[in-house]
Amino acid sequence: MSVNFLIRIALLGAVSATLFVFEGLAPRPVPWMKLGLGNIPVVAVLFMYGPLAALIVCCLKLILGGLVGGLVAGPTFVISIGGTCVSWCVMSLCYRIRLLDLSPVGISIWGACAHQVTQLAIAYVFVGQFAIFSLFPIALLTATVTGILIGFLASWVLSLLSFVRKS
Amino acid sequence: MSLYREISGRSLVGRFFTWGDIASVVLILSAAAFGMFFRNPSVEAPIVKVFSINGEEGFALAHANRRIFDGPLGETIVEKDSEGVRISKSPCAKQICVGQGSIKFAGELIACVPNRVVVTLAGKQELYDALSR
Repeated sequence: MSVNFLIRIALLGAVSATLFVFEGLAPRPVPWMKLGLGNIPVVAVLFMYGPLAALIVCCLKLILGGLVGGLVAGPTFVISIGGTCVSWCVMSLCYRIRLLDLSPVGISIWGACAHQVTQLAIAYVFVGQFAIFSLFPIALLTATVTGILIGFLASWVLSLLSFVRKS
Repeated sequence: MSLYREISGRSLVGRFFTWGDIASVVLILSAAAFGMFFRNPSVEAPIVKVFSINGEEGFALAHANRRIFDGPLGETIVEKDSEGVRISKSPCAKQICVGQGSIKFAGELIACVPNRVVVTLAGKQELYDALSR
């Protein structure tokens, strides 16, 4: 693990945490819908350095973002941790298996869906009402929209980085 | 790293998505449509059901003027307005449940996870019973 690699991962982790906190503070037109801007560096790092590096960025996002955003030790934070871990697992599997030859957009969509479904499952544990799964279709729809957007942004970041690297 | 280099050489369209992405979107949207079909939020529902730490409580929407439900963080207030029923006040930090506004169709739901209060509308069965009587 070179110093260069560590610096890049630390930088991207900080960017991810900053976006995570910024998104928490910014007003949202739809209160329960979150874009997940903090996942742009995660998807980009997954394609640049692989799943392990993406996990490090995820952890940095959660720890730094949770501390700065004041979310630590509440149900929201537990939902964030669960959603992030499961979405990382799904994105890593999609990246490694390459069953459908997914681009960052496709991987981001699967990650967003995994995140949303996990959120519902954890919310079910907290409230104990199966009725919460009636939000499942809406969760999948919003995850598809946000996944596409985040995937496009991650692709754009990747193309910018490759441009910088070639020059 | 291989795909990272690979995508940089593709055309603009090929760089940003693949057939696998399109198949994924179709698959996920199909699952969502399947779920929507079962949810069917088209009937205006007259029965409000609220689940809280004290159990389940059901009452008619017409009588949902202002009810208070206890949770681990404090009191959540459920109120009727011109559109339907909504959570008007909650002690949770993010206030997502309050921001969600009103619900009026069967199957719609407002959940306040931090305070463990779920408000849902269940009207289909009751409406059918009312018609059959």
